[in-house]
Amino acid sequence: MRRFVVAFAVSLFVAVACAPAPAAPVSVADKPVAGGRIVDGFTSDIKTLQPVLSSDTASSGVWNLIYYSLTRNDPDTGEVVGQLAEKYELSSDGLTLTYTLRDNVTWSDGTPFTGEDYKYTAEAVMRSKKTIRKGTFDNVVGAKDYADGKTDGIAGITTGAGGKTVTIKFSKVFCPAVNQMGGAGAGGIIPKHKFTQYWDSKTTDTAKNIDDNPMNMEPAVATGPFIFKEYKPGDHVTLVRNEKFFRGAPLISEYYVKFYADSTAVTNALKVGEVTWTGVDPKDYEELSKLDTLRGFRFPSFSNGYIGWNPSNAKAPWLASRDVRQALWYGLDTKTIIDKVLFGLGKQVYANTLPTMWAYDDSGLNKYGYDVKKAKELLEKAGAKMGSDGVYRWTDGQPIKMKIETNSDSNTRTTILQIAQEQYAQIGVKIDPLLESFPALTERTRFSKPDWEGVILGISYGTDPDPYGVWHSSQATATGLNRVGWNKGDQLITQQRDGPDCSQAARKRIIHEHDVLLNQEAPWTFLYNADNLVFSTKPLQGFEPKPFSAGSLWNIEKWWLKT
Amino acid sequence: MQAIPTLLGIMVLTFLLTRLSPADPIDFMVGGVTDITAADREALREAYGLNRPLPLQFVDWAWSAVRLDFGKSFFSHRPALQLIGERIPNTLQLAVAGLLVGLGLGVPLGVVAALARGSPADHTIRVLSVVLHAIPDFFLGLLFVLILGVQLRWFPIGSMNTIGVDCGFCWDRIWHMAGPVLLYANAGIATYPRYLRTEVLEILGQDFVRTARSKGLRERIVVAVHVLRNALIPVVSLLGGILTIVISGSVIVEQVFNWPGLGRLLFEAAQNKDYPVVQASVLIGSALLLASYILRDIAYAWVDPRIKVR
Repeated sequence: MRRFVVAFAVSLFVAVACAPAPAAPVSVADKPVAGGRIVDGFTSDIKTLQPVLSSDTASSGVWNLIYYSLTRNDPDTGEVVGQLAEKYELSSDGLTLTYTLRDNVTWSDGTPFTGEDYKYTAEAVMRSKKTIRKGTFDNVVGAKDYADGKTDGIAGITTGAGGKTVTIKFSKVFCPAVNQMGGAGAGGIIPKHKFTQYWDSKTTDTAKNIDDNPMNMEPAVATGPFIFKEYKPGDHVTLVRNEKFFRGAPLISEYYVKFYADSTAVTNALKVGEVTWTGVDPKDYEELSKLDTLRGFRFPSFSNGYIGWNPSNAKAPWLASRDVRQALWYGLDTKTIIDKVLFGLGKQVYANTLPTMWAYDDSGLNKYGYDVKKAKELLEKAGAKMGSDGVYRWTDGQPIKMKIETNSDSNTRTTILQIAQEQYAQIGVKIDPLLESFPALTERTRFSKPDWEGVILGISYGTDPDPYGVWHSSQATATGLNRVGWNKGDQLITQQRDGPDCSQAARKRIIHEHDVLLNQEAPWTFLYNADNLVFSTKPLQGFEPKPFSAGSLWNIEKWWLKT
Repeated sequence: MQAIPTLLGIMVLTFLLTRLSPADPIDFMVGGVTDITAADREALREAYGLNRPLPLQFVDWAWSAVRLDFGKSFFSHRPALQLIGERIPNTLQLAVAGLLVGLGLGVPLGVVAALARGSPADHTIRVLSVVLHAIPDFFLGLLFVLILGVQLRWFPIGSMNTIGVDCGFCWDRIWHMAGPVLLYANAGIATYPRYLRTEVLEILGQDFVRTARSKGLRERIVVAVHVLRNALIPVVSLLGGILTIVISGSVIVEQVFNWPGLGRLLFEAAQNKDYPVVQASVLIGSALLLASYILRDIAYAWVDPRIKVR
């Protein structure tokens, strides 16, 4: 019996060790050729192909290829540039935004794309009962009245020049508008001539809307590079090339989005050549980089990791002290975290604005290096005294001991928590780690909940550097992202949103002032800006992922497969 | 009739467990959107009926569920029953095949172990049975994917078909089913041989077997007709338990092998707090399970004519 087991184990080992390396593709053509299928690996199923209702990244990853927006971000700089619109213009008083549409854009069935499609999409958003997108139109004249059924159209959105222009009137200046309005709130503009059969927007009846109709899962036409062909729940979506795409029909004939159970399954699919391109986790980057069949890309993401400190917790009064929060920043080696946890695939950040954003300016920011001595000095400056057990005592005599919590299903964050526990012990601060499910974590660490001290989380930003959604005091609500209740930057945040000077230079100056304030006050210990990691199989040509413009898809019509 | 109160209990429990677990589905919908107002959030809550008192929500849901209306998914906005209907055939394919393979391998192995008692074959089967029983299913599945799929490329790493191949029950599908079906069958392969071996050994020593042999019947007939049918009675009893594993195990098997079935739907819905889909999946899964118990009782009567189904 033992011999049998040994023989089985040896044969299995030999079989694994001698497994043939995947064959390298043979190059026979260097000129772009049309045809072929691209397989994109997703880690979850789509929920809807209706941009108005969409709230998940998998769904938007697919409808972004079908329904285009009037504008997009320049793939290199992030500047807002025309897409379905040729140009846009914000009036000098900041109250009127005019888009001029391209002449050569049609839907895939040949119907001209017009400003009426934009208006219809905006109205669909305002009448939907299940959208999360209405906030886009907060400052648009007549949007609220239309939502309430007082009018049969949004008065502030008009079309002209035979549908070739769209004009949006705002009730007050809103500087990020040019970045947010291009997608009519939904992100992608839907075809009025197809959806009107299910819902006519010219009505005051608020009971009717676009929320339920079969075309929400089966788009009939496209302005984007691909047309919907088939959806197999839980398995895949098939798209085929749009011959009428305004930048020229894509070379690839089929775009196949395959759903996998998790990132490990997608990585396996990439290894065996089932997937043509996909994003990967930092832990897999090195191993995949060694494979001859793959090509790796690395570029900055729009997300960061942080530890948020709750300054209002009565059980941890020291967190209200700026010196203590700064000490906690000095006492944590963020470089080691990036090296050990992200495998070096990220950058240190010292304030809210990320290096990829046009408003980034790190001048005047304190680059908190790991400095145990400095951290202890700051704790003592704040009034803490070292106890005989190596733990500092706060001014009221209680030991500086507190919880840091994070979600147990994230290896990255749980490892950061371990490192924080060890390193904070070096500066005389005792940490009780608390791991919980993500829903429980977000519930426990809301602004309104007093019983938390530190939380390790991450956040993803839009392409506009507006800090309002995270840092304005209006977001310090039971459900807002301003968990720490930051309220010292309201004036600056409002100023860069409400103008009157909406120029990039003016906004950059104000946002930088806010970043300096955050850097000094340290309501968060900013940990890192992780890199986006993307791999493609070598036959895929023309694939040049860049930080902006839907990451990798900005030149999708030029992708081709070398056979 | 006992199935009805059982289902009612499951309804209450499922409803309560989804509602009492932390986090709010509206948070999952809103995600990173920061410009949503409190009034818009409240409007969403109202649109999904989440602002009503829990007992009312339950009564509404239960009454609709009785009429097979399980509500619409919070995220895909499609009827939960439709989402489940799309997935059930996929799960049943694996479950039925897994059950048959489990029986097809487990039963003969048990008989062989008993007939060849004390031989190397007997020892091998017993060790195999214990080892398979001891290794968690997800681990076996991951080993299969990593070794036979990623490294050796003998089998696909998951999914129902090769990309671009769209067939019902063809060779490509059978090839893709190999891994998940083996994982499903594992419970049977690990369990049946141990029970059957004991049972067959006991029956082999009984008078009616000696009588059959003394009548001059061939050994194959004695085993197949007289021994096996009697030995199968405890296996049929076990079948109910195995069916539980087969149905509840779909979450693990489908997750590991990327199989678009009910288990994966339930897993994703639970992660997103998609109440209508979770409630409908659990209820329909439970109904299937209860139906399988009824089938087991019928099978019980078939192998043992002394038992009558009423």
